[in-house]
Amino acid sequence: MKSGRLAVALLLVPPLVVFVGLYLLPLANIFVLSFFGFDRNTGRLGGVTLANYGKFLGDPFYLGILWRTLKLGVASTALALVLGYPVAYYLSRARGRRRAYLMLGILAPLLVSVVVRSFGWLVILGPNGLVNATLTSLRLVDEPLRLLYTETAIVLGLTHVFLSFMVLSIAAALDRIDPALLRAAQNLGASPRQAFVRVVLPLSLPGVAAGCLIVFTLATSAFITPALLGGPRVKVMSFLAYQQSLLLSDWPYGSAIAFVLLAITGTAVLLYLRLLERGRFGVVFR
Amino acid sequence: MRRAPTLLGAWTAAVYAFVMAPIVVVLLASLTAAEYTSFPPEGLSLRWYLAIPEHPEFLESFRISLVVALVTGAVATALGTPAALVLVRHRFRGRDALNAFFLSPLMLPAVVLGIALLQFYTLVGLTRTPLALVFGHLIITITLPLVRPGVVAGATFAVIVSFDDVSVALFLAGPHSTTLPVRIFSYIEQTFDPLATAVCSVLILIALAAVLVIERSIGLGRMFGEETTHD
Repeated sequence: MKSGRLAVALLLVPPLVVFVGLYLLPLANIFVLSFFGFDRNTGRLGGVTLANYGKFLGDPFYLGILWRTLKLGVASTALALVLGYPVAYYLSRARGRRRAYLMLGILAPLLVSVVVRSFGWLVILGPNGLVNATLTSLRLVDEPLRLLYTETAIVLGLTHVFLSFMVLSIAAALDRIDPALLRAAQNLGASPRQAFVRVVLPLSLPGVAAGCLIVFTLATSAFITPALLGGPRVKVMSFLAYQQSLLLSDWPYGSAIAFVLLAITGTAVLLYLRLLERGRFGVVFR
Repeated sequence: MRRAPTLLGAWTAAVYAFVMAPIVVVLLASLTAAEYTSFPPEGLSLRWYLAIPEHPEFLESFRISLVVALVTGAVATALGTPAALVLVRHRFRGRDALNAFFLSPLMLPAVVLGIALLQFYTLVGLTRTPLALVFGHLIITITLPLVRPGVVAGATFAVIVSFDDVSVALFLAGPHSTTLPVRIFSYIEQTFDPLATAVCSVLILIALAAVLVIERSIGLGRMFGEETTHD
Protein backbone atom coordinates (compact mmCIF):
# COMPACT_ATOMS: atom_id res chain seq x y z
CA MET A 1 0.00 0.00 0.00
CA LYS A 2 2.77 2.38 0.96
CA SER A 3 4.70 1.98 -2.31
CA GLY A 4 1.43 2.35 -4.27
CA ARG A 5 0.76 5.65 -2.59
CA LEU A 6 4.26 6.83 -3.34
CA ALA A 7 3.90 5.94 -7.02
CA VAL A 8 0.63 7.88 -7.13
CA ALA A 9 2.27 10.89 -5.53
CA LEU A 10 5.17 10.71 -7.99
CA LEU A 11 2.75 10.96 -10.94
CA LEU A 12 1.58 14.31 -9.64
CA VAL A 13 5.07 15.74 -9.20
CA PRO A 14 5.92 16.72 -12.82
CA PRO A 15 2.73 18.70 -13.52
CA LEU A 16 2.92 20.27 -10.06
CA VAL A 17 6.49 21.40 -10.65
CA VAL A 18 5.48 22.89 -14.01
CA PHE A 19 2.49 24.65 -12.46
CA VAL A 20 4.32 26.06 -9.48
CA GLY A 21 7.37 27.10 -11.48
CA LEU A 22 5.78 28.36 -14.67
CA TYR A 23 2.39 29.55 -13.42
CA LEU A 24 2.14 30.27 -9.68
CA LEU A 25 5.56 31.91 -9.44
CA PRO A 26 4.99 34.23 -12.45
CA LEU A 27 1.57 35.22 -11.06
CA ALA A 28 3.03 35.93 -7.62
CA ASN A 29 5.77 37.92 -9.30
CA ILE A 30 3.40 40.35 -11.06
CA PHE A 31 1.21 40.57 -7.98
CA VAL A 32 4.22 41.88 -6.06
CA LEU A 33 5.16 44.03 -9.05
CA SER A 34 1.73 45.70 -9.00
CA PHE A 35 2.72 47.33 -5.68
CA PHE A 36 5.89 48.85 -7.13
CA GLY A 37 6.37 52.44 -8.19
CA PHE A 38 7.51 53.20 -11.73
CA ASP A 39 9.37 56.15 -13.19
CA ARG A 40 8.28 56.75 -16.75
CA ASN A 41 11.44 58.69 -17.62
CA THR A 42 14.09 56.40 -16.21
CA GLY A 43 12.01 53.22 -16.40
CA ARG A 44 13.18 52.39 -12.90
CA LEU A 45 11.09 50.60 -10.30
CA GLY A 46 10.49 52.37 -6.99
CA GLY A 47 9.45 51.31 -3.47
CA VAL A 48 6.32 49.53 -2.31
CA THR A 49 3.17 51.60 -2.84
CA LEU A 50 -0.57 51.41 -3.45
CA ALA A 51 -0.24 54.16 -6.04
CA ASN A 52 -1.03 51.91 -9.05
CA TYR A 53 -4.37 50.83 -7.64
CA GLY A 54 -5.02 54.40 -6.45
CA LYS A 55 -4.29 55.72 -9.93
CA PHE A 56 -6.79 53.32 -11.44
CA LEU A 57 -9.59 53.73 -8.90
CA GLY A 58 -9.17 57.51 -8.68
CA ASP A 59 -9.35 58.34 -12.37
CA PRO A 60 -12.75 58.59 -14.11
CA PHE A 61 -11.06 57.69 -17.42
CA TYR A 62 -9.86 54.32 -16.14
CA LEU A 63 -13.07 53.69 -14.19
CA GLY A 64 -14.93 54.36 -17.43
CA ILE A 65 -13.01 51.55 -19.09
CA LEU A 66 -13.84 49.25 -16.18
CA TRP A 67 -17.52 50.19 -16.45
CA ARG A 68 -17.51 49.60 -20.21
CA THR A 69 -15.88 46.18 -19.75
CA LEU A 70 -18.57 45.15 -17.27
CA LYS A 71 -21.33 46.55 -19.48
CA LEU A 72 -20.06 44.69 -22.56
CA GLY A 73 -19.68 41.51 -20.49
CA VAL A 74 -23.27 41.70 -19.20
CA ALA A 75 -24.66 42.62 -22.64
CA SER A 76 -22.92 39.74 -24.42
CA THR A 77 -23.98 37.31 -21.70
CA ALA A 78 -27.60 38.44 -21.98
CA LEU A 79 -27.58 38.27 -25.77
CA ALA A 80 -25.95 34.82 -25.71
CA LEU A 81 -28.63 33.63 -23.26
CA VAL A 82 -31.51 34.96 -25.36
CA LEU A 83 -30.06 33.51 -28.58
CA GLY A 84 -28.79 30.32 -26.99
CA TYR A 85 -31.57 29.06 -24.72
CA PRO A 86 -34.03 28.14 -27.50
CA VAL A 87 -31.20 26.55 -29.48
CA ALA A 88 -30.19 24.44 -26.47
CA TYR A 89 -33.82 23.43 -25.99
CA TYR A 90 -34.14 22.46 -29.66
CA LEU A 91 -30.83 20.58 -29.48
CA SER A 92 -31.80 18.65 -26.35
CA ARG A 93 -34.99 17.42 -28.02
CA ALA A 94 -33.33 16.39 -31.27
CA ARG A 95 -32.24 12.79 -31.69
CA GLY A 96 -29.98 10.73 -33.93
CA ARG A 97 -28.46 12.22 -37.05
CA ARG A 98 -30.17 15.59 -36.64
CA ARG A 99 -28.72 15.98 -33.17
CA ALA A 100 -25.25 15.04 -34.42
CA TYR A 101 -25.39 17.70 -37.14
CA LEU A 102 -26.73 20.35 -34.74
CA MET A 103 -23.95 19.53 -32.30
CA LEU A 104 -21.38 19.74 -35.10
CA GLY A 105 -22.65 23.21 -36.03
CA ILE A 106 -22.20 24.43 -32.45
CA LEU A 107 -18.81 22.81 -31.86
CA ALA A 108 -17.09 23.24 -35.24
CA PRO A 109 -16.67 27.06 -35.00
CA LEU A 110 -14.71 26.52 -31.77
CA LEU A 111 -11.93 25.02 -33.87
CA VAL A 112 -11.51 28.25 -35.82
CA SER A 113 -9.18 30.73 -34.14
CA VAL A 114 -10.80 33.69 -32.38
CA VAL A 115 -8.76 36.00 -34.62
CA VAL A 116 -10.39 34.57 -37.73
CA ARG A 117 -13.91 34.65 -36.30
CA SER A 118 -13.54 38.26 -35.13
CA PHE A 119 -12.06 39.12 -38.51
CA GLY A 120 -15.28 37.82 -40.08
CA TRP A 121 -17.16 40.55 -38.22
CA LEU A 122 -14.74 43.14 -39.61
CA VAL A 123 -15.77 42.02 -43.09
CA ILE A 124 -19.48 41.98 -42.21
CA LEU A 125 -19.56 45.35 -40.44
CA GLY A 126 -16.90 47.18 -42.46
CA PRO A 127 -17.65 50.13 -44.76
CA ASN A 128 -17.86 47.76 -47.76
CA GLY A 129 -19.25 44.93 -45.71
CA LEU A 130 -22.38 42.83 -45.84
CA VAL A 131 -24.54 45.10 -43.68
CA ASN A 132 -23.61 48.35 -45.39
CA ALA A 133 -23.85 46.80 -48.87
CA THR A 134 -27.37 45.61 -48.06
CA LEU A 135 -28.45 48.93 -46.56
CA THR A 136 -27.08 51.02 -49.47
CA SER A 137 -28.50 48.73 -52.15
CA LEU A 138 -31.92 48.97 -50.51
CA ARG A 139 -31.35 52.73 -50.41
CA LEU A 140 -32.01 52.78 -46.69
CA VAL A 141 -28.87 54.84 -46.12
CA ASP A 142 -26.98 57.24 -48.37
CA GLU A 143 -23.50 56.54 -47.12
CA PRO A 144 -22.04 53.58 -45.20
CA LEU A 145 -22.84 53.56 -41.50
CA ARG A 146 -19.99 53.47 -39.05
CA LEU A 147 -20.59 50.07 -37.44
CA LEU A 148 -17.02 49.07 -36.77
CA TYR A 149 -15.10 50.29 -33.75
CA THR A 150 -18.27 50.61 -31.69
CA GLU A 151 -19.50 48.90 -28.53
CA THR A 152 -22.24 47.21 -30.57
CA ALA A 153 -19.62 45.59 -32.80
CA ILE A 154 -17.79 44.27 -29.73
CA VAL A 155 -20.98 42.83 -28.21
CA LEU A 156 -21.84 41.07 -31.49
CA GLY A 157 -18.33 39.65 -31.77
CA LEU A 158 -18.15 38.51 -28.13
CA THR A 159 -21.60 36.92 -28.28
CA HIS A 160 -20.64 35.09 -31.44
CA VAL A 161 -17.33 33.81 -30.07
CA PHE A 162 -18.77 32.53 -26.77
CA LEU A 163 -22.34 31.52 -27.74
CA SER A 164 -21.35 27.85 -28.08
CA PHE A 165 -20.45 27.63 -24.39
CA MET A 166 -23.86 28.97 -23.39
CA VAL A 167 -25.68 26.50 -25.64
CA LEU A 168 -23.57 23.57 -24.44
CA SER A 169 -24.09 24.38 -20.73
CA ILE A 170 -27.84 24.75 -21.05
CA ALA A 171 -28.20 21.71 -23.31
CA ALA A 172 -26.26 19.62 -20.78
CA ALA A 173 -28.68 20.67 -18.01
CA LEU A 174 -31.71 20.00 -20.22
CA ASP A 175 -30.35 16.58 -21.16
CA ARG A 176 -30.19 15.63 -17.49
CA ILE A 177 -33.90 16.23 -16.97
CA ASP A 178 -35.74 12.94 -16.54
CA PRO A 179 -38.36 12.69 -19.32
CA ALA A 180 -40.65 10.97 -16.80
CA LEU A 181 -41.02 14.30 -14.98
CA LEU A 182 -42.49 15.88 -18.11
CA ARG A 183 -44.88 12.99 -18.66
CA ALA A 184 -45.91 13.19 -15.02
CA ALA A 185 -46.61 16.91 -15.33
CA GLN A 186 -48.74 16.37 -18.41
CA ASN A 187 -50.59 13.42 -16.86
CA LEU A 188 -51.43 15.69 -13.96
CA GLY A 189 -53.01 18.11 -16.42
CA ALA A 190 -50.28 20.62 -17.14
CA SER A 191 -50.35 22.21 -20.57
CA PRO A 192 -47.07 22.03 -22.54
CA ARG A 193 -46.46 25.68 -21.64
CA GLN A 194 -47.09 25.02 -17.95
CA ALA A 195 -44.87 21.94 -18.03
CA PHE A 196 -42.10 24.04 -19.55
CA VAL A 197 -42.43 26.95 -17.13
CA ARG A 198 -42.92 24.86 -13.99
CA VAL A 199 -40.68 21.85 -14.71
CA VAL A 200 -38.19 22.30 -17.54
CA LEU A 201 -37.22 25.93 -16.96
CA PRO A 202 -36.41 25.61 -13.22
CA LEU A 203 -34.48 22.39 -13.82
CA SER A 204 -32.41 24.04 -16.55
CA LEU A 205 -31.36 26.99 -14.35
CA PRO A 206 -28.11 25.35 -13.22
CA GLY A 207 -27.09 25.17 -16.89
CA VAL A 208 -28.15 28.78 -17.39
CA ALA A 209 -26.08 29.86 -14.39
CA ALA A 210 -23.03 27.90 -15.55
CA GLY A 211 -23.39 29.23 -19.10
CA CYS A 212 -23.74 32.82 -17.88
CA LEU A 213 -20.69 32.46 -15.65
CA ILE A 214 -18.57 31.07 -18.48
CA VAL A 215 -19.68 33.67 -21.03
CA PHE A 216 -19.39 36.58 -18.57
CA THR A 217 -15.86 35.68 -17.41
CA LEU A 218 -14.69 35.00 -20.96
CA ALA A 219 -16.31 38.17 -22.31
CA THR A 220 -14.96 40.49 -19.61
CA SER A 221 -11.47 39.07 -19.98
CA ALA A 222 -11.59 38.85 -23.79
CA PHE A 223 -8.83 40.65 -25.53
CA ILE A 224 -8.60 39.84 -29.22
CA THR A 225 -12.23 40.47 -30.18
CA PRO A 226 -12.53 43.91 -28.49
CA ALA A 227 -9.10 44.90 -29.82
CA LEU A 228 -10.13 44.14 -33.42
CA LEU A 229 -13.76 45.29 -33.36
CA GLY A 230 -13.39 48.20 -30.93
CA GLY A 231 -9.96 49.41 -31.94
CA PRO A 232 -7.85 51.62 -29.68
CA ARG A 233 -10.74 54.05 -29.19
CA VAL A 234 -13.18 51.64 -27.54
CA LYS A 235 -10.77 50.20 -24.98
CA VAL A 236 -11.58 47.41 -22.52
CA MET A 237 -9.67 46.28 -19.41
CA SER A 238 -7.60 43.58 -21.14
CA PHE A 239 -6.53 45.97 -23.86
CA LEU A 240 -5.64 48.61 -21.26
CA ALA A 241 -3.50 46.12 -19.34
CA TYR A 242 -1.82 45.05 -22.59
CA GLN A 243 -1.22 48.64 -23.65
CA GLN A 244 0.19 49.77 -20.29
CA SER A 245 2.53 46.82 -19.89
CA LEU A 246 3.61 45.75 -23.35
CA LEU A 247 3.32 48.97 -25.35
CA LEU A 248 4.13 51.59 -22.66
CA SER A 249 6.39 49.30 -20.57
CA ASP A 250 4.70 50.40 -17.32
CA TRP A 251 4.67 46.86 -15.97
CA PRO A 252 3.62 47.75 -12.40
CA TYR A 253 0.53 49.64 -13.63
CA GLY A 254 -0.27 47.00 -16.26
CA SER A 255 -0.06 44.32 -13.56
CA ALA A 256 -2.35 46.31 -11.25
CA ILE A 257 -4.96 46.61 -14.03
CA ALA A 258 -4.63 42.87 -14.70
CA PHE A 259 -5.36 42.16 -11.03
CA VAL A 260 -8.39 44.47 -10.99
CA LEU A 261 -9.70 42.43 -13.93
CA LEU A 262 -8.85 39.19 -12.13
CA ALA A 263 -10.74 40.45 -9.06
CA ILE A 264 -13.88 40.89 -11.20
CA THR A 265 -13.79 37.49 -12.87
CA GLY A 266 -12.77 35.93 -9.53
CA THR A 267 -15.79 37.51 -7.82
CA ALA A 268 -18.06 36.11 -10.54
CA VAL A 269 -16.66 32.62 -9.99
CA LEU A 270 -17.04 32.88 -6.20
CA LEU A 271 -20.62 34.12 -6.52
CA TYR A 272 -21.36 31.16 -8.75
CA LEU A 273 -19.82 28.68 -6.28
CA ARG A 274 -21.86 30.29 -3.49
CA LEU A 275 -24.99 29.81 -5.58
CA LEU A 276 -24.01 26.24 -6.26
CA GLU A 277 -23.53 25.45 -2.59
CA ARG A 278 -26.52 26.86 -0.85
CA GLY A 279 -28.40 29.25 -3.11
CA ARG A 280 -32.01 28.73 -3.95
CA PHE A 281 -30.89 26.44 -6.76
CA GLY A 282 -29.27 24.23 -4.14
CA VAL A 283 -31.70 21.40 -4.65
CA VAL A 284 -31.46 21.62 -8.39
CA PHE A 285 -27.68 21.51 -8.75
CA ARG A 286 -26.26 18.03 -8.81
CA MET B 1 -47.29 21.21 -29.56
CA ARG B 2 -47.71 21.64 -33.32
CA ARG B 3 -46.80 25.29 -33.82
CA ALA B 4 -44.20 25.81 -31.13
CA PRO B 5 -41.57 23.48 -32.63
CA THR B 6 -41.64 25.33 -35.98
CA LEU B 7 -41.03 28.67 -34.29
CA LEU B 8 -38.27 27.06 -32.28
CA GLY B 9 -36.80 25.54 -35.43
CA ALA B 10 -36.82 28.91 -37.21
CA TRP B 11 -35.09 30.58 -34.25
CA THR B 12 -32.48 27.81 -34.15
CA ALA B 13 -31.87 28.16 -37.91
CA ALA B 14 -31.43 31.94 -37.51
CA VAL B 15 -28.93 31.48 -34.67
CA TYR B 16 -26.96 28.93 -36.70
CA ALA B 17 -26.87 31.43 -39.56
CA PHE B 18 -25.48 34.00 -37.09
CA VAL B 19 -22.86 31.49 -35.94
CA MET B 20 -21.79 30.59 -39.47
CA ALA B 21 -22.03 34.09 -41.01
CA PRO B 22 -18.52 35.45 -40.23
CA ILE B 23 -16.89 32.21 -41.39
CA VAL B 24 -18.83 31.99 -44.65
CA VAL B 25 -18.35 35.70 -45.32
CA VAL B 26 -14.55 35.43 -44.96
CA LEU B 27 -14.45 32.42 -47.31
CA LEU B 28 -16.49 34.22 -49.97
CA ALA B 29 -14.75 37.58 -49.58
CA SER B 30 -11.36 35.90 -50.13
CA LEU B 31 -12.39 35.12 -53.72
CA THR B 32 -12.55 38.78 -54.67
CA ALA B 33 -10.65 40.11 -57.69
CA ALA B 34 -10.58 43.65 -56.27
CA GLU B 35 -7.84 45.45 -54.37
CA TYR B 36 -9.94 45.91 -51.25
CA THR B 37 -12.08 43.66 -49.07
CA SER B 38 -15.78 43.87 -49.73
CA PHE B 39 -18.84 41.76 -49.31
CA PRO B 40 -20.26 40.61 -51.64
CA PRO B 41 -16.84 40.17 -53.35
CA GLU B 42 -16.21 41.94 -56.65
CA GLY B 43 -15.34 39.51 -59.38
CA LEU B 44 -14.05 36.04 -58.78
CA SER B 45 -10.41 35.03 -58.58
CA LEU B 46 -7.82 33.13 -56.60
CA ARG B 47 -5.27 35.96 -56.88
CA TRP B 48 -5.13 36.60 -53.15
CA TYR B 49 -4.38 32.96 -52.43
CA LEU B 50 -1.61 33.08 -55.02
CA ALA B 51 -0.30 36.19 -53.25
CA ILE B 52 0.24 34.33 -49.95
CA PRO B 53 3.61 32.78 -51.00
CA GLU B 54 4.85 36.31 -51.71
CA HIS B 55 4.61 36.86 -47.96
CA PRO B 56 6.94 34.18 -46.57
CA GLU B 57 6.35 35.47 -43.02
CA PHE B 58 2.92 33.80 -43.06
CA LEU B 59 4.41 30.46 -44.10
CA GLU B 60 7.17 30.79 -41.50
CA SER B 61 4.54 31.55 -38.82
CA PHE B 62 2.47 28.58 -39.90
CA ARG B 63 5.51 26.34 -39.43
CA ILE B 64 6.16 27.79 -35.95
CA SER B 65 2.51 27.40 -34.94
CA LEU B 66 2.51 23.78 -36.05
CA VAL B 67 5.74 22.88 -34.21
CA VAL B 68 4.68 24.69 -31.01
CA ALA B 69 1.23 23.05 -31.12
CA LEU B 70 2.58 19.52 -31.64
CA VAL B 71 5.26 19.84 -28.94
CA THR B 72 2.73 21.39 -26.54
CA GLY B 73 0.23 18.62 -27.26
CA ALA B 74 2.82 15.90 -26.64
CA VAL B 75 4.18 17.39 -23.39
CA ALA B 76 0.73 18.35 -22.05
CA THR B 77 -0.50 14.80 -22.65
CA ALA B 78 2.59 13.21 -21.11
CA LEU B 79 2.33 15.34 -17.97
CA GLY B 80 -1.42 15.78 -17.75
CA THR B 81 -2.72 12.26 -18.37
CA PRO B 82 -1.04 10.59 -15.36
CA ALA B 83 -2.17 13.48 -13.16
CA ALA B 84 -5.70 13.18 -14.49
CA LEU B 85 -5.70 9.44 -13.71
CA VAL B 86 -4.56 10.09 -10.16
CA LEU B 87 -7.08 12.86 -9.58
CA VAL B 88 -9.96 10.82 -10.97
CA ARG B 89 -9.14 7.39 -9.51
CA HIS B 90 -7.74 8.19 -6.08
CA ARG B 91 -9.19 9.94 -3.08
CA PHE B 92 -6.79 11.80 -0.83
CA ARG B 93 -6.68 14.93 1.24
CA GLY B 94 -6.25 18.08 -0.85
CA ARG B 95 -7.54 16.41 -4.00
CA ASP B 96 -10.23 19.02 -4.63
CA ALA B 97 -7.79 21.85 -4.03
CA LEU B 98 -5.31 20.29 -6.45
CA ASN B 99 -8.04 19.80 -9.02
CA ALA B 100 -9.07 23.44 -8.71
CA PHE B 101 -5.44 24.52 -8.99
CA PHE B 102 -4.96 22.61 -12.26
CA LEU B 103 -8.25 23.92 -13.64
CA SER B 104 -7.67 27.55 -12.61
CA PRO B 105 -5.88 28.67 -15.81
CA LEU B 106 -9.13 28.06 -17.70
CA MET B 107 -10.83 30.81 -15.68
CA LEU B 108 -7.84 33.16 -15.60
CA PRO B 109 -7.98 36.12 -18.01
CA ALA B 110 -5.43 35.40 -20.74
CA VAL B 111 -4.01 38.90 -20.41
CA VAL B 112 -3.09 38.20 -16.76
CA LEU B 113 -1.27 35.04 -17.78
CA GLY B 114 0.38 36.86 -20.69
CA ILE B 115 1.76 39.67 -18.52
CA ALA B 116 2.84 37.25 -15.79
CA LEU B 117 4.68 34.93 -18.17
CA LEU B 118 6.40 37.67 -20.16
CA GLN B 119 7.66 39.32 -16.97
CA PHE B 120 8.87 36.00 -15.65
CA TYR B 121 10.56 34.87 -18.86
CA THR B 122 12.33 38.22 -19.07
CA LEU B 123 13.71 37.60 -15.58
CA VAL B 124 14.97 34.13 -16.42
CA GLY B 125 16.14 35.00 -19.95
CA LEU B 126 13.67 32.78 -21.81
CA THR B 127 11.77 35.51 -23.54
CA ARG B 128 10.80 35.58 -27.22
CA THR B 129 11.73 31.98 -27.96
CA PRO B 130 9.54 29.12 -29.23
CA LEU B 131 10.23 27.38 -25.91
CA ALA B 132 8.53 30.26 -24.08
CA LEU B 133 5.46 29.68 -26.26
CA VAL B 134 5.43 25.96 -25.45
CA PHE B 135 5.70 26.66 -21.72
CA GLY B 136 2.94 29.25 -21.92
CA HIS B 137 0.64 26.92 -23.85
CA LEU B 138 1.44 24.08 -21.48
CA ILE B 139 -0.29 25.97 -18.68
CA ILE B 140 -3.55 26.31 -20.61
CA THR B 141 -3.49 22.77 -22.06
CA ILE B 142 -2.11 20.51 -19.30
CA THR B 143 -5.57 20.68 -17.73
CA LEU B 144 -7.31 19.28 -20.78
CA PRO B 145 -6.75 15.57 -20.02
CA LEU B 146 -8.50 16.35 -16.72
CA VAL B 147 -11.71 17.39 -18.37
CA ARG B 148 -11.69 15.27 -21.56
CA PRO B 149 -12.45 11.59 -21.63
CA GLY B 150 -9.66 9.70 -23.38
CA VAL B 151 -6.00 10.36 -24.09
CA VAL B 152 -6.35 10.94 -27.83
CA ALA B 153 -9.21 13.40 -27.37
CA GLY B 154 -7.23 15.33 -24.75
CA ALA B 155 -4.10 15.41 -26.88
CA THR B 156 -5.97 16.55 -30.00
CA PHE B 157 -7.71 19.28 -28.06
CA ALA B 158 -4.39 20.46 -26.59
CA VAL B 159 -2.87 20.73 -30.08
CA ILE B 160 -5.87 22.73 -31.31
CA VAL B 161 -5.94 25.09 -28.31
CA SER B 162 -2.22 25.77 -28.73
CA PHE B 163 -2.50 26.25 -32.49
CA ASP B 164 -5.44 28.68 -32.17
CA ASP B 165 -4.23 30.69 -29.18
CA VAL B 166 -3.59 34.39 -29.73
CA SER B 167 -3.98 36.08 -26.34
CA VAL B 168 -1.09 34.34 -24.60
CA ALA B 169 1.11 34.02 -27.69
CA LEU B 170 0.81 37.76 -28.36
CA PHE B 171 2.83 38.40 -25.20
CA LEU B 172 5.36 35.64 -25.73
CA ALA B 173 6.01 35.84 -29.47
CA GLY B 174 9.33 37.23 -30.65
CA PRO B 175 10.51 38.34 -34.09
CA HIS B 176 11.47 34.75 -34.91
CA SER B 177 8.74 33.00 -32.98
CA THR B 178 5.51 34.63 -34.16
CA THR B 179 2.67 32.14 -34.45
CA LEU B 180 0.21 32.37 -37.32
CA PRO B 181 -2.77 33.72 -35.32
CA VAL B 182 -0.52 36.42 -33.81
CA ARG B 183 0.81 37.25 -37.28
CA ILE B 184 -2.74 37.58 -38.59
CA PHE B 185 -3.81 39.66 -35.58
CA SER B 186 -0.95 42.14 -36.09
CA TYR B 187 -1.67 42.24 -39.82
CA ILE B 188 -5.40 42.94 -39.59
CA GLU B 189 -4.87 45.50 -36.85
CA GLN B 190 -3.20 47.58 -39.58
CA THR B 191 -5.24 46.72 -42.64
CA PHE B 192 -7.88 44.27 -43.72
CA ASP B 193 -7.02 43.81 -47.35
CA PRO B 194 -8.08 40.66 -49.24
CA LEU B 195 -4.74 38.98 -48.41
CA ALA B 196 -5.97 38.74 -44.80
CA THR B 197 -9.21 37.13 -46.00
CA ALA B 198 -7.22 34.57 -48.00
CA VAL B 199 -4.94 33.68 -45.07
CA CYS B 200 -7.94 33.45 -42.72
CA SER B 201 -9.72 31.24 -45.26
CA VAL B 202 -6.78 28.85 -45.30
CA LEU B 203 -7.07 28.61 -41.50
CA ILE B 204 -10.82 27.98 -41.81
CA LEU B 205 -10.21 25.21 -44.36
CA ILE B 206 -7.63 23.63 -42.04
CA ALA B 207 -10.16 23.78 -39.17
CA LEU B 208 -12.79 22.24 -41.45
CA ALA B 209 -10.42 19.38 -42.32
CA ALA B 210 -9.72 18.93 -38.60
CA VAL B 211 -13.46 18.82 -37.87
CA LEU B 212 -13.97 16.08 -40.46
CA VAL B 213 -11.02 13.99 -39.27
CA ILE B 214 -11.94 14.35 -35.58
CA GLU B 215 -15.64 13.64 -36.18
CA ARG B 216 -14.72 10.45 -38.10
CA SER B 217 -12.17 9.24 -35.56
CA ILE B 218 -12.86 10.31 -31.98
CA GLY B 219 -16.04 12.34 -32.38
CA LEU B 220 -16.12 16.11 -31.97
CA GLY B 221 -18.54 15.97 -29.03
CA ARG B 222 -16.26 13.53 -27.24
CA MET B 223 -13.28 15.82 -27.71
CA PHE B 224 -15.17 18.67 -26.10
CA GLY B 225 -16.04 16.40 -23.19
CA GLU B 226 -19.72 16.05 -23.98
CA GLU B 227 -21.45 13.50 -21.79
CA THR B 228 -22.67 10.95 -24.30
CA THR B 229 -26.06 10.09 -22.93
CA HIS B 230 -27.43 9.11 -26.34
CA ASP B 231 -26.47 6.64 -29.09
